[in-house]
Amino acid sequence: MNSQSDTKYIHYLQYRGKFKGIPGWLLTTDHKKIGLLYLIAMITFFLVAMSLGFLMKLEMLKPSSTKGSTLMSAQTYNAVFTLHGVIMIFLFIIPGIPAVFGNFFLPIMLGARDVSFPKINLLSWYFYIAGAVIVLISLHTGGGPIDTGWTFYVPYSIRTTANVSLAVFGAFVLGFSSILTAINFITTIHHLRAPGMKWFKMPLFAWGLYATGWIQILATPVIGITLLLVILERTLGVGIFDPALGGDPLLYQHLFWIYSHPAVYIMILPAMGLVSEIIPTFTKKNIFGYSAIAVSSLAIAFVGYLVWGHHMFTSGISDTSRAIFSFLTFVVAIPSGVKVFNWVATMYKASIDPRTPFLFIMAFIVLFSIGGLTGLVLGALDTNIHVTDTYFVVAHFHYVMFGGMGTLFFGGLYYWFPKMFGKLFNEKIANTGLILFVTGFNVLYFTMFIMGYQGMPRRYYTYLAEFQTLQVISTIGSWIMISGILILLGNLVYALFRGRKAPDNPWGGTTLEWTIPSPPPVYNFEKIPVITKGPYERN
Amino acid sequence: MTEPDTLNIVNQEHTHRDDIGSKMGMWLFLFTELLLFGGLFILYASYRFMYKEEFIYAATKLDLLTGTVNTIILLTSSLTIVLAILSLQKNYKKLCLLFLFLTVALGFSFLINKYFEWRAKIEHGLFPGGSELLNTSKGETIFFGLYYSMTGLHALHVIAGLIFILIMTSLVYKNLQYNTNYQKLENSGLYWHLVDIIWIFLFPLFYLIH
Amino acid sequence: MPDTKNTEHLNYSEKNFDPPTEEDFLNSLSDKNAHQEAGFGTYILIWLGLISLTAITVALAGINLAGLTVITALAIAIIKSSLVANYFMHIKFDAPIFKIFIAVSLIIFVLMIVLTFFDLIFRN
Repeated sequence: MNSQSDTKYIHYLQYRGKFKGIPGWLLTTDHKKIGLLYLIAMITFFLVAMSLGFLMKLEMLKPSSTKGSTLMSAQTYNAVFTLHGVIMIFLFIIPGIPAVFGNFFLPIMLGARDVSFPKINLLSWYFYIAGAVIVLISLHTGGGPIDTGWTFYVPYSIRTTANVSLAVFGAFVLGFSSILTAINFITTIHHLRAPGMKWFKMPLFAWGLYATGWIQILATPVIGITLLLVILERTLGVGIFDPALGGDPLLYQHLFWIYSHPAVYIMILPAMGLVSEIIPTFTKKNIFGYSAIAVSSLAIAFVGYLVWGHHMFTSGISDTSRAIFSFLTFVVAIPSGVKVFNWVATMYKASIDPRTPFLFIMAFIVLFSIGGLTGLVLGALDTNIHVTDTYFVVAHFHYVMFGGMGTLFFGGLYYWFPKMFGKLFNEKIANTGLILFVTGFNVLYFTMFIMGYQGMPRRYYTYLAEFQTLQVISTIGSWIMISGILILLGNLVYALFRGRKAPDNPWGGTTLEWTIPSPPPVYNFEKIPVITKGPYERN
Repeated sequence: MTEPDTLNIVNQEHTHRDDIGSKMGMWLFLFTELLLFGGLFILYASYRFMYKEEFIYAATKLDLLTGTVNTIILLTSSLTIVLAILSLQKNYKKLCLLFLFLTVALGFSFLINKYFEWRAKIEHGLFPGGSELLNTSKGETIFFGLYYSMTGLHALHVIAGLIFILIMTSLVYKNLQYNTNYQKLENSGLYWHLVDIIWIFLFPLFYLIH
Repeated sequence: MPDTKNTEHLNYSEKNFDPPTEEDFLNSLSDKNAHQEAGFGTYILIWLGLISLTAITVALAGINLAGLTVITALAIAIIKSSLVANYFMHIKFDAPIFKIFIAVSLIIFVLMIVLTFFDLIFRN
């Protein structure tokens, strides 16, 4: 099919280092294998959390006031939505794209043979797994599964008998994993770019990871210490967050959101970088406004630090700060808009090749726009008061997080799958799965916007009879969406074993990963390439 | 499947020494430490703003002498570690080892001081949930809550720093760090200086505000 | 399916280049490792400065400066830490990128405090 693949080489999956089999994987320092270790772990956790979400929607099929028992008790429901949130956010959405695709592709895209600190890279995977295991252990020890919601708000989290300390410690360990990955990426980007690759000749995915890395480094420690203080509060009663001893619970919320709002950008910036990769490939054009997109990543990261207060509009913070936070929230729309306009300008008058990865981008733009626009409703002070803590908020962040990062996680998987495994997948089945996913997604979450607007509060295990029609529609949506996801994943698993062999550059991409064989050789590049042009320039 | 050993491949664990990269990684890690304490400094600033009078009163209960002595100990240990690195660069291995031992000794004396300081406080019931602290104002409870959290976390960092330095001492002793390859030692030095810098701020905020 | 034999659309052709070997690349990195250093004397002077500043700040704490107590104490702490960072941590002699890193981190940290205080100061 092409010259490079015919020549003999050892690709990374064939390579046997000091150890064979499972130990060979668990002790690998190859960034590609570490990326796959993350991928396996992450899809597992995603499926677990998705099943929890499925159960929650099933519970909502019937209000519990009607005859007969419902699926679960109120306490179980609390534990289920907390776990769903904790697993999805801390184990899937936040680390997802950087840990899997960043690890696998960042060094290749920069023309390097590995990240700067390969051993630390492996260590960060172990921290990730350790954090996950600690959270799992916390479910069966102490006072049982946490019921605080993923936000662990005080004072409830220091009063509840559930096993908050251990679960929170698990999140703390996950923070370590995130920080170590970020240190690795930033140093790699500074130091291991191929000769000739100036900053503004770097692929935009790398820019996204760079901005993300800075958020991970400067924001993650803040939640680290906050969570440690919650543990201290529960064990020793130092009083810092305990109102009975003089502490101020609002300060907990400040510190929590100082991290957790930028965390939203940790998930979306690499996803946006991915969009900037996929669009030029399938429009067969150089990207429009390269430097504007690159710089807007840094701008989003920076402004993203300054908007955390919009999660606390109804918590009792001062009016002045509410106005400031509301204003700054709207400022984020500017760099985000810069990105979207440049993407659209790239597609303008292009001969678009609507292959599967490109369709994921279309799905992303639709879902993320709905999420973004409803975000403005929430970012404005007065409308926020009306819909705060309702299904409206839940629908909004599912559109942004799941519709944004989640869609692109699968999009990235489909874009890079031929490169990662050297196999082609069935595009018709993939497109069918995608259509089911998007349809189900909208049926599931758009009805939640309506219910939220009508006053359906979040985090309740039951509801008033008047919501039943919409709840049933929403639950049916969840079934459609899950079947779409299962088709999407199943299609890839099938391709892994039965797929045709993929050429080196199935999509006609221009970045460095497409210049090497599929799957990549163990050392990535026989010769470190010399870069003379921008990443998306074509002759 | 092809037999890997028959082909000439670059070892996947092919690594090279990149001292600047290593130093950059260390600095990035230091920023995370800075922000870890940063969260506590935000809390300190906020509570000091809320409980100004109580904080000033509570600070008088701390022992200024112990605090000052510990400040001098840490500053001096910062000097000795930097001299250790310089000695190694100039290939004075024995001098380097001597300075490293001095640093470790100073680090331990800091911890011993801290231990006696905490013990004295705890004997007076000045600890979270302690008899004395339950009967005072909320502001004072918070002051001591922060005092124990911040100096405790700092002490943990001193211990971590000491462990790094002890490992480095053995590396220098075994000639694994030498005059042209000293980045690991320098990184431990950077960590130790950061611990020092944090104490430079903790000292006035707890001991000098009365 | 695009023909990958045709590498003209790739940006990374090595045709016009005598590509530097990896060794060249690594050498170019390690060349930067040499940087000037302060001597024993400088370090001891800095240490003396730090000890004197400690003495000053302790002495000043004994004097009632009213609202200025905390500000002077913090100002001295900032001078001390910048001495440690510049000399002991070599920032003065290192590449400018490290200074930029520190500046970015500090700016973001300060903004975190400022925005938190917009809440605290104006709270009723």
